[in-house]
Amino acid sequence: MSLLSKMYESWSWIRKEILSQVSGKVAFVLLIALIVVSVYAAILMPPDYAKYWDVGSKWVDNPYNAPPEWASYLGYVCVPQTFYDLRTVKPGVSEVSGRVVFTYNITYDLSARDYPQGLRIRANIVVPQGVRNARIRVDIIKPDGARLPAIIDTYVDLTNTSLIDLNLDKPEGIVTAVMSAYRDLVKFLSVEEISIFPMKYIFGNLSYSETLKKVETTPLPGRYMFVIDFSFRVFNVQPQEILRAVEKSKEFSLLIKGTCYGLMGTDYKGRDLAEGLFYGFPIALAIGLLVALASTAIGVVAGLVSGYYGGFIDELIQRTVDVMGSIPLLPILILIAQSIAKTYTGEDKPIVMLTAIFAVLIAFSWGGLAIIIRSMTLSIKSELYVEAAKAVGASNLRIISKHILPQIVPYIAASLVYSTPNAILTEAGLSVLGIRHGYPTWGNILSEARQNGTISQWWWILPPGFLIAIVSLTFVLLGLALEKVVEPKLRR
Amino acid sequence: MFVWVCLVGVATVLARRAVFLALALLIAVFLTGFILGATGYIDTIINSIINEEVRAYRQALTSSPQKPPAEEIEKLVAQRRQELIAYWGMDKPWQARIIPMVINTFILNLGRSPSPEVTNVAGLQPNSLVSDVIAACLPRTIFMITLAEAITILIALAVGPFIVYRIGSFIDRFIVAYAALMNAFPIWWVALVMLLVFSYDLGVAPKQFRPVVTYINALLLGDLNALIGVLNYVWLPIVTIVIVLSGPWIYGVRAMLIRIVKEDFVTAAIARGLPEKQILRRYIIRPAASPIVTNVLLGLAGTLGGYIITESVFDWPGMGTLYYAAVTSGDAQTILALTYIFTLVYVIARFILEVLYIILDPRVRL
Repeated sequence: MSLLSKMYESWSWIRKEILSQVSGKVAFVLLIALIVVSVYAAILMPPDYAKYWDVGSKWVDNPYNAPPEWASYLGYVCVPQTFYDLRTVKPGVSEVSGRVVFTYNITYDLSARDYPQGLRIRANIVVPQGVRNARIRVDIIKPDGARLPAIIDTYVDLTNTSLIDLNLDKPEGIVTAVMSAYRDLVKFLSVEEISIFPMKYIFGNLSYSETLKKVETTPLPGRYMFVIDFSFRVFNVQPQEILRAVEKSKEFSLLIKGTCYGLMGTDYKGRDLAEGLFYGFPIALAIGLLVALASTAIGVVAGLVSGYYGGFIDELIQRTVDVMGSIPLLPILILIAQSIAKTYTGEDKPIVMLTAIFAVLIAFSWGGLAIIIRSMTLSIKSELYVEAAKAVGASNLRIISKHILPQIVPYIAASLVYSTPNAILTEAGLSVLGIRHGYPTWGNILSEARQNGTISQWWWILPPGFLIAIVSLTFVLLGLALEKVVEPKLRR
Repeated sequence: MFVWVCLVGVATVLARRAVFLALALLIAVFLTGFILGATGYIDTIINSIINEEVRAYRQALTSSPQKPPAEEIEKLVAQRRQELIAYWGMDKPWQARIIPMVINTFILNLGRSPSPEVTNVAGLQPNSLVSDVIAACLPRTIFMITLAEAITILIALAVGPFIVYRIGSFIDRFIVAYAALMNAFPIWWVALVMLLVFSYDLGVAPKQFRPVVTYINALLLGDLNALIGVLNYVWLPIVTIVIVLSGPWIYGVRAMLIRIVKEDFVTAAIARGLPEKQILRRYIIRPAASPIVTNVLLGLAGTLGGYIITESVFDWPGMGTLYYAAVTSGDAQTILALTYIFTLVYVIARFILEVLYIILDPRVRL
């Protein structure tokens, strides 16, 4: 109890000292914010997030390489993501010889001078018994009056499945639709060009360029009309029953993919960067704190043992620290991480790699603290009150815990604070080099930006770096405030 | 007589240090060899080389005009595989392959680099001597990283003494804040941002840095006109490093000087009314010399290994990029040689410091 209360006394003194300084106050606020966000993210994080982030089919609806939505204020041309819930739209219903036809007329206003990235119809409808299949056909009427007939016209068998998932950027339908809509341009239109950028021909103004000898497209803002026909092949089913099934369905939607997305934009797979960055918080903090705690603990024990007991063990620890200090850390770390990345094939590879990185970081970062603690212990050990305690028969443990530990608390705190950002920066640096363990850390997002993006995609490169910097700044500021506790000479 | 006793004492201290530094060198290189062998990384690489050669051999046999019968081919291929396994020493445990390599590294018999990625960084033919590869890359790192660090140190040494009398002033607070900020930003990320701004947005800096090799080679041959070409490439990385490192460096020098400014003998000197310049030179710089020299020397020695991540961001063909290329392509020969040299430079710097302490600090000398 007395050890705890002494430690607490020491700690509350440190806290008072830290909070009396501007850098300490800023650091304190930042630290609390970091912890709150990290805990919140850790609670929300789905299990198996690494896999989900890497292969998740969740991202297919997002535009890829899209800047954030607010980029439009910076002069980016932004087509927003537009989503129509067709369950809430009343279709025109008609019946023709064994088929029930639902016709949806959707108007879409394109205001930005750019092309949307894609079109998608998705449905999950449990149809009544007796509905055999659905023929889905989409026509688009463009602002210039041209009607693109049947950019898609396909049958979906509904006897076994309730799922419909249609990408409307399939070139085949679009090529014939464009060819038939612009008869005057037919001989200049190139099938290949349409197949590469079908969206340009759906949402563009087509004109023949004399100089280039081909059809050119420019974005065509205005009101578009999507005419979507759902024609169900039915056997003894009333249209009302199907309509009810549609209204009760889990999903029935038309999505027009924009060119900007969310708060932080997306990467080359369409992954929402805001989400990745958010879940990066607990991982970054865990990496930093784990390494800091472990290396500090080892440093304290090694320093105490070295200083208090002396002799052979002291010599051994000091020489170990000496030798470790001369071995270059980063090259060894890169080598170990890369060796494991190339040779280990087990399922738990991310864990194994992270553990190895942790182990190396910890092994190389306890030395400095051990030397400081040793010299502190040596000087405290020779104080008179320690001699007196010994004379009345106090045990070693009692002397260490009552007289030595409370005095070295500031150094322990400083060491924790200094080694945390180091670990975070080193882990991020390894990822940036391309040695990836698989977790969606900030460094990992940056490294993907370097490998799969272009450097001009600022929304992909700046935020992870800023977050890394904010976390390390928190600890740097805390260290700055602590430095004056540890080193009274730095006080004014 | 007294002088002799002192000299013997100094020599023993230095010899002891030398032994431990040599031990560190030994351990660093053996540890590298151990990692390469024990993780099986080396074997993975050698196996893929053998498989590739066997495949090429089979290809050559089946496409030759006098194609031997199928079972003959199988026999020849199997025989070739056995030869290759014996040649690479894959029939023995990994220790038998690694230990001779480590020992050869120690006697500076660095061998040849089998990896085209590594020789490509140096701009040499495949299978070049590792010593040639390192000799090609070292000047490029010196022209960028070491130069940048030297500029940073000069700035810190000029600014540090200036602000040490103005502790708490606006400029002092600014510098402390700047140092804290720059401590938080990784250099390689600032490098990415600098590339984004200067190379891609403004277009005033190059996007590819490999071509600098031509200019540096010309400069090394004595063509001073190539200096402009080198500067054209080198300015952005140097500015980046100086911006980031000058914060912590100035802060470090400031902290070392403050510790001395608060000493009683400085207070006494100020009380005696000595001129500021004289106090600085005689009472502050002199005692601060040994920690400052330590940092300068170790900092400069550290740059010779290149900043691996920063060089890789700029794709700068120096020692850091070389090391990374060696690691990714599993080129054990080059990895061992570079680890050896990185550690050797550091260890030599530490030893020079031991000697300098004796010269700088009269207390140690006695």
